Amino acid sequence: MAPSSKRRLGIAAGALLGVTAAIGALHAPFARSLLMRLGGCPLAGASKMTPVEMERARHIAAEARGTESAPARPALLFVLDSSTLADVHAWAARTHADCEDPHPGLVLCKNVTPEALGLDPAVGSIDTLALGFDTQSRLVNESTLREHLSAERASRTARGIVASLQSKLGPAERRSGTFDTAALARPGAAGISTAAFRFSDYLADVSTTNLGPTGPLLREHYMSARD
Amino acid sequence: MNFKRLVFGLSVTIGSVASAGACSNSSSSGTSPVDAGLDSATTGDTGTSLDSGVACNPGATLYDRLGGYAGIHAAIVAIVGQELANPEIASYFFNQVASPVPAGHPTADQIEDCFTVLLASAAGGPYTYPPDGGVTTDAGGTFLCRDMATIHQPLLISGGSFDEFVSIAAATLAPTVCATDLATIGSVLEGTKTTIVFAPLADAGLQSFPGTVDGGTEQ
Repeated sequence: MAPSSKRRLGIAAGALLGVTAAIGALHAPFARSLLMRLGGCPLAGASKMTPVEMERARHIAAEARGTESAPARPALLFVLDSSTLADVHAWAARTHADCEDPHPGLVLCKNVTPEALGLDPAVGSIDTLALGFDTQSRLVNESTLREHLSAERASRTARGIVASLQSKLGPAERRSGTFDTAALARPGAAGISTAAFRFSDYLADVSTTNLGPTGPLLREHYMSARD
Repeated sequence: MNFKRLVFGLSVTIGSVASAGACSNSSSSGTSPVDAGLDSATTGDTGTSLDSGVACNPGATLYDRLGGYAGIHAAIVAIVGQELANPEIASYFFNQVASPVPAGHPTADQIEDCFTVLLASAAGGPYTYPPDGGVTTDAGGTFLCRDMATIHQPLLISGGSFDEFVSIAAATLAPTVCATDLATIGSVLEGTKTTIVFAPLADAGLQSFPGTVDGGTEQ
């Protein structure tokens, strides 16, 4: 090999090593924040869920379904297996909801007002509303999260949601805790209350927890269990 | 014993679920979710008089009270199912719901097995985590469970996502595990949050994968 070729090969190998080292260093714990500020690892985008994969996850979750079909399938303002991605986008535009599509088949909305969902203003805003869609862009999965609540508000809101669900679905299949203010005011296991409704075509869950520093939080989950 | 400790304890569960091992073949599977056979008091039709409290199962150790390996595994399977039901949390399981699961990444069953060993170890069972020689599956194959930092740091888990995972896990366990044991699980495993949550995202809210420092989601 000619000396010039050796030199070029050496330069190329050195450059490759340097780039590899730089990429590796950016992924080290001490440099991750810099990597994030640079836009994150471009390969991470390849790991985003697709609607096909979201459907696999939903079908695994649906193994917890019940045996009877649901008398109703409440899901806030939307209709499971019917409302479409376009419907949700139109709703977001109409209500000025702060929503984004982090990846295909998922819409995340922040600080959604109760009015935007047709709810009583007394229930307060939803911090995070997540809406999942199947491969035909039909709504199949929905969850809400309310954080930093007072124990009183968490109790009142949760009890109202559970009462509404029970009026439409009958008694919850599983429940624990009391959703009462005194329990929710105590960080720890005592603050956990749950109500789960299980049908062959529909799952709904309401739960409260008190994580201590962040106070009580309230979750709702509505999911189609149809194949 | 406070809930923060419970949170930390459950976070181990959480994290393990999201990604857990360098694997070879396996075919372990979970059965009988923990919710089977639950009992609760009757309620009025308003839903405001729900039952509270679960009596602790008999047993000398937490491991025994949780039903040993089989009981813990059933609980883990139930937790994984509930986590996958959440669209945002499910986004961290992109490898487990891919078909086929990419080489070098664990299947959901393998994650459940690693997590079971982890919790069994923490609960006083005859296990250590990571288990020497890997975990033997029902099919006879083995795979390795990785340490907490290796598992979680690439997932860029935010504090809010961590809390959401914990909330779901706690709600899943609450109907069958008594409050004392829930708190004990947490105290045994306390301190893992800093290992699991990506430090620059510690104060960020709930995010889908991959999250960003500014609290939004990478486009």
